[in-house]
Order: sequence, then structure tokens, then C-alpha cells
Amino acid sequence: MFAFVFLAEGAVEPLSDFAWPTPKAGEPGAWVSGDTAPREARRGYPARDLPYWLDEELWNVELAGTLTGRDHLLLAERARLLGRLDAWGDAAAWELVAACAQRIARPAAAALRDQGQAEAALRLEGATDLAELELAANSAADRPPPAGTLAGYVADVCFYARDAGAAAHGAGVAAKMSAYALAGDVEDARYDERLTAERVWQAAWLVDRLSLR
Amino acid sequence: MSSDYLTCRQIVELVTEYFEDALSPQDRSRFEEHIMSCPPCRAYLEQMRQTIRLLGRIPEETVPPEAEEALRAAFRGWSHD
Repeated sequence: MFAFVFLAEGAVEPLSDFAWPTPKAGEPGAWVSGDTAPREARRGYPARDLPYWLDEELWNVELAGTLTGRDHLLLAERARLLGRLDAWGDAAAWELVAACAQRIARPAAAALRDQGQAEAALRLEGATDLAELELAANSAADRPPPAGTLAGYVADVCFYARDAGAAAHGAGVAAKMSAYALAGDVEDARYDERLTAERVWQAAWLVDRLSLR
Repeated sequence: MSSDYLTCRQIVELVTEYFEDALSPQDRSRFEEHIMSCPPCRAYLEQMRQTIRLLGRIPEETVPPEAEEALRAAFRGWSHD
């Protein structure tokens, strides 16, 4: 079956440190199996699970033989790389960071309006880049909850994504933080449902932005 | 946080079992998902991998106590984990 796999720079599987054989001259990379690659490296992700594994390179992978499903991933007896998806790179990663931050900024702005803080809400909504958004969010973070809490999350997403090093790692941080921020109170009965829904939204964003099939 | 959420502190505690392939499949997935979205933990895992490569095994005292405390302080600074 066909799936996707995020890899570190140089087609290296980041958790096992396995360097995949890459496609050459238009031909897929060599098949890897138990003889040549650790079990944990022979993995692929369905599109719906991509937000959990963001990394610097995105590849199409073919999985064959016995497949074992685990939370958010598939392990295969044999696998090979088919080709790299160039649509995923720094630009797309930063767009995802911004999209995740905006997902929290919207309810933050609504909550600010509910508290009579229309000007602060407009600053959040009118931010044209991550730096502006972070400034606006920081200035609203001392408001009472929920507006202040949500604004604080927006500022944190911007800060920690920027602090993560590689853009793709920042996107991973932003995706996780925004999902947990929007899931709300852990004691709420709908917490897990909201957490999952946010990951589903992120996956749909990736499918659309990267034209994945 | 959700009941299936691993903290950075738990990652530090589970790293030996991770390398020894002693985690359940579910815990292994949770561990890996955390690593992929937490740059400090990812760096820590890489340092551990290099240590194992150099020593050929996982050291009994993985991290000196003072280094462990500094690491935990750094992780606490990573406030959303």
C-alpha cells in the first residue's frame, strides 16, 4: 500500500536514525526489509496521521508484506521510498504554524470582544505576520480567562515554533500546542473529541496545501 | 491533559525502556509522538543514541544527578509539556 513518511534532512528516519535508500534516475529507492533496516524504520503514515510526525522532508513510501498498525502509523515487513514531495518545505511549515496560531487567535478575539476589549481583538485579527500576532497576543495575555488564556496560547505557539530550530520542527510544536489549547479543559467530557478534531483539521490542511492524494 | 499524554519528565524516565524495546506498542507510539513535537526531548534522544553508540550499551547512570536536574529545569521551562 502507499503511504507517506516524514524524514529528517537527508532522508533519515529520525527515531531510528536509519538512512533510507533514495530514488535514483526516476526509479524508486531500494526495498528495505528486516535484513537492511530496523523494524521501526519501515514505517508509513496515512494522510490523516501526518500532523503527529512533522519533519523536514515528506516522502511517498510503498509498504509491502505484513503490515502492523499502531497508533497513528503503520509498520511494514518491506518498504521503499517512491519520491519526495517538494511541496512540503520551510514555506509550507511556516504557513502551518501561522494557521495553527490563527486557529486559537479567532476564539481569543471573540472572547476579548465578549469582555469589551474590541481594540485588542482587532489587533489579533489584523496581525499580518507571526511577529505581529505574537506581539498582539502577548499584550492581551494578561486579560481574564478565557481571553487571556487563549491569547497566551497564541503567543506561546508563535514563540515556541520560532524557538524550535527547523521550520518543520516549529510546525510540529505549533500543531501539538494548538491542538491541546483548543481541546480546552481536560476535565471536560468533550476534551478528547476536540483534541482529535483539531488533528483532523490539521491533516485536512496538509492534504489541501500539499495537494496530497 | 489527556490520560494518554506523556510529559517531558516521563520521556526522560522511559528513554532506557525505549531503547531496549521494552515499551508496549501503545506507549512506544506515545513516546515517539512526543519526541516528534518536542525539540528538547528530540535533542535528548539523539544525545542518548550517540552515548549508546560510543559506549555500546545504555549506561546504568544515564545522566549524572546534577545534569538530570538541569535537564528537568530546562524541560520545566518548556512550559506546555
